[in-house]
Amino acid sequence: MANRTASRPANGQNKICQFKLVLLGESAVGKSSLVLRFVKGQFHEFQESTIGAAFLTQTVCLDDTTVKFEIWDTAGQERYHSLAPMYYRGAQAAIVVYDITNQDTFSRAKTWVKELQRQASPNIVIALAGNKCDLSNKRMVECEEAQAYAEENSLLFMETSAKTAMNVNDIFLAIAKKLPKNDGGSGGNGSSGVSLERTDPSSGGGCCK
Amino acid sequence: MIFSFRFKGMTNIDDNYGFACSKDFQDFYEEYKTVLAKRQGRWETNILNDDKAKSEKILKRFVRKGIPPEIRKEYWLKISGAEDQQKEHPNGYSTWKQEEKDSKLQIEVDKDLERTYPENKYFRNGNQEEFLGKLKNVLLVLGHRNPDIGYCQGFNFVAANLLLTVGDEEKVYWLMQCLIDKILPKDYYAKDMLALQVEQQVLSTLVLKKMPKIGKHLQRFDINYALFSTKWFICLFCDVLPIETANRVFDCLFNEGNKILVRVGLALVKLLGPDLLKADSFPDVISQFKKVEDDKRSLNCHEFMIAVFKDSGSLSKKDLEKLRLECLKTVGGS
Repeated sequence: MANRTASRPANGQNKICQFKLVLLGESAVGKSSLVLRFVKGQFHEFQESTIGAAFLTQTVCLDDTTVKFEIWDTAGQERYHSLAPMYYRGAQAAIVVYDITNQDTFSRAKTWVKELQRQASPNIVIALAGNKCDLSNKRMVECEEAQAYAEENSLLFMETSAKTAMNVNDIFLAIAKKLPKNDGGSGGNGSSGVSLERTDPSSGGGCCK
Repeated sequence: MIFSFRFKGMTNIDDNYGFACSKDFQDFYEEYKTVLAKRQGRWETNILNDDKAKSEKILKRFVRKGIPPEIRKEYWLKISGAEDQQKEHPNGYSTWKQEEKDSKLQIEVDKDLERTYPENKYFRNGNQEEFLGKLKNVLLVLGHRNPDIGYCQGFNFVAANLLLTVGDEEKVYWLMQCLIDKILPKDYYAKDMLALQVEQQVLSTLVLKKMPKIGKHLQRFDINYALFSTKWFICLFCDVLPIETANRVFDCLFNEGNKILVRVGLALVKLLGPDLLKADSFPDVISQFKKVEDDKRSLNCHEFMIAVFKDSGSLSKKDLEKLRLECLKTVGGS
């Protein structure tokens, strides 16, 4: 797959960047639900299991830049692991997802982070998402623990809920902000996107309370 | 009998398979039910009530035109060899169902039960317990009896599709066991996914050979076939094609064997060909493949199956085996 990064159209007004983003994490942590919330603003209580991977795109506006995400939502089951490099190879960003109600999924997330650090592009922007934060009464992974781990590994970190939409747009937006926008390359042409500018600054990032 | 298909843009009408019908399907079904009634009659006269053994050729012709839904429930077991396997272990299924299962297997199966055809009425709304219970039993026994495979995500859709068609969980288990033991390529569901990659390499080779324009177009955008065909091959086209079309594929899979899989893959690539050729970027090309699930042409199972055999042309078992061996070398098998 070709790497597509940034280009500035001749009029110089709006820069368009395309980034490949991959979602990784244990099965049933909510990867597809996060993408569905981000791309279509929907949530299904029962989301079909993803076989192989699903491909979706979404565009966001960020100041003078239009960021187009090409999203690979991968299957979580261990046996599909061997296919994962095909999806994260050449990716500029990754969201590693775990379920805050399940400690094993957090361990699995750490394994994914290690693999990305070792084998993905050296400049990949990695975000850690502790999903299902609407289920805080069933919490098994402490926010502080995940936050500390994220800091040690220079990861973006947010607790999210695809169900309530908490921090979902925010995490994609945070990634968009962190991605370099000045590389050369071929971009698309001035399509308008969804503005994801945060309205309430206090809702940003970190843990859900 | 009305049966329905998984298809977007549906009406509120449900059918015997429990998926909502689309208007397109209803229109198609009006014609198709006449065809079905005729086929049912021909099957009864020529196959079921005729004591003379049928030549393989005649049976093949009949099966390719579709086994009528009522006959299918029993006939799949007969033609696949699943019935013979079942006879060797008459109390097997009920015994294995009682045996204690590996805890990891249970966790994996549990995660996917409610994520199987969530839009189907039999897997929701009160019927849920019965159908999800049967699905769970089938998947657990299958994983238990095939420890090298365990539970492979995708089995849930295959088992659910068969359950909706056949009804009886024990029969569904034996059909799936027979697929694994006798019908699919060796180690098809192995954890290393090597056989899957071989099948995808075979598809890519045949697309280049039989539809060079499309093949080269996909090459130009560096499209790895695994990106779009993993679900096709893992789910045996369940949850990819509308259920009656998927069942027509099963008719041939159970009767003729695994050659049908790559044939259907070729037909789908051909069907999407015009849209693929118009797409001029990687994301554009990849997005086209999602259309398979919503395409009217795959809804018309009759015409689709005609295309399946026409598009792939002659493909002998011997040539396919040879091609698989060659592909095994390229995908890194030793």
